[in-house]
Amino acid sequence: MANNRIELLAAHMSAGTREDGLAALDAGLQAGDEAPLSVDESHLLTQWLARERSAYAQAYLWRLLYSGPLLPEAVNLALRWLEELQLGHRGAALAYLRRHRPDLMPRLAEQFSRDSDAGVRYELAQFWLPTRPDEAVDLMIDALAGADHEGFDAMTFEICEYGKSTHLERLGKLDADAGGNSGFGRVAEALRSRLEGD
Amino acid sequence: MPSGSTGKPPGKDVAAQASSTAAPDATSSTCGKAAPAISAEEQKALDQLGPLGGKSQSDIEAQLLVQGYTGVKANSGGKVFTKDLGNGKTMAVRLDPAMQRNPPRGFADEKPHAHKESVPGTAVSNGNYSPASSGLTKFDDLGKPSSDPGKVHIPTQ
Repeated sequence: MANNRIELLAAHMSAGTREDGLAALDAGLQAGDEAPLSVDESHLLTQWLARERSAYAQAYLWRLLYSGPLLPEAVNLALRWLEELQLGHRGAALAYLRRHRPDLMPRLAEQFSRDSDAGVRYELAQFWLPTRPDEAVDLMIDALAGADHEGFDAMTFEICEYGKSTHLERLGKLDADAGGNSGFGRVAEALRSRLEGD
Repeated sequence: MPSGSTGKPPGKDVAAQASSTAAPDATSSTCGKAAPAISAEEQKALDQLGPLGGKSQSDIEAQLLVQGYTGVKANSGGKVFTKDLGNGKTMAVRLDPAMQRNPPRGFADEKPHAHKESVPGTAVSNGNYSPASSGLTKFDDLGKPSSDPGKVHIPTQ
């Protein structure tokens, strides 16, 4: 356990240092500079996430869990997390399940079909994208207003890629309703450029 | 040519713009519409930032602190740095980790990246702001207003 990176990080007394360490480990994993997380490390991540209260730390704990191996206890945590409507990062919990337990997605998509959380809507849209792309784009447009920066940017790319003229029209109406020069308008501009370039 | 009109999926060709150091052109248009007017203060801040593409996020963070930006950790991960320009506008640089997209689609947000943005100061709360804010202007790495998602994601290390 001496080389367990999560154990070493968790031992830091300063919350700021722990958070910075999580972000650095995530960046190293994404860049391929760090070895993939072990089952033992993912086990500790799950325990840490269950008691962590910092939204920033939670974001990185979910990112690390997502990139690690499938762990039954993490699946259980994700399912419980998804049920807690007041929690942040419910979309990250659903992302974990969509990656590691795709067999659960049909049931979860039905159960959370009316969920108002932008992150949850984004993940549901990803589930529907291959088979119902128009509805998936509408779902992402619905989620724009409540999205954080990362989600808003991700959905901008995908609305641009998969959106049609009907979606452009809808975004234009939403922008007008918001008084113009809104986030809807900026996504509409990006989609219009793509449609004109096709 | 409107940005993003190459027929390529948006955001999949960012290398060329990331390495360019051409001067900002505040009169350029975006997607056939007049680009948002840029104040002298915004232009000065953009000039001071210079190109960020290819730099490490820690180097960018150090540069921003020297230039008077204040940083906060974003709840979704990454950091947001803002500086009041004194004219009702706030300049912002966001440093984001790679988007974990499933399946990966090759979009520019799937690598660590930076954003250059300006927002009305009234939109800023606790050092951050909503991405849906009215009056938010996104810039490419050359300092030009852009709605092209590929160009406003500036690849970093």
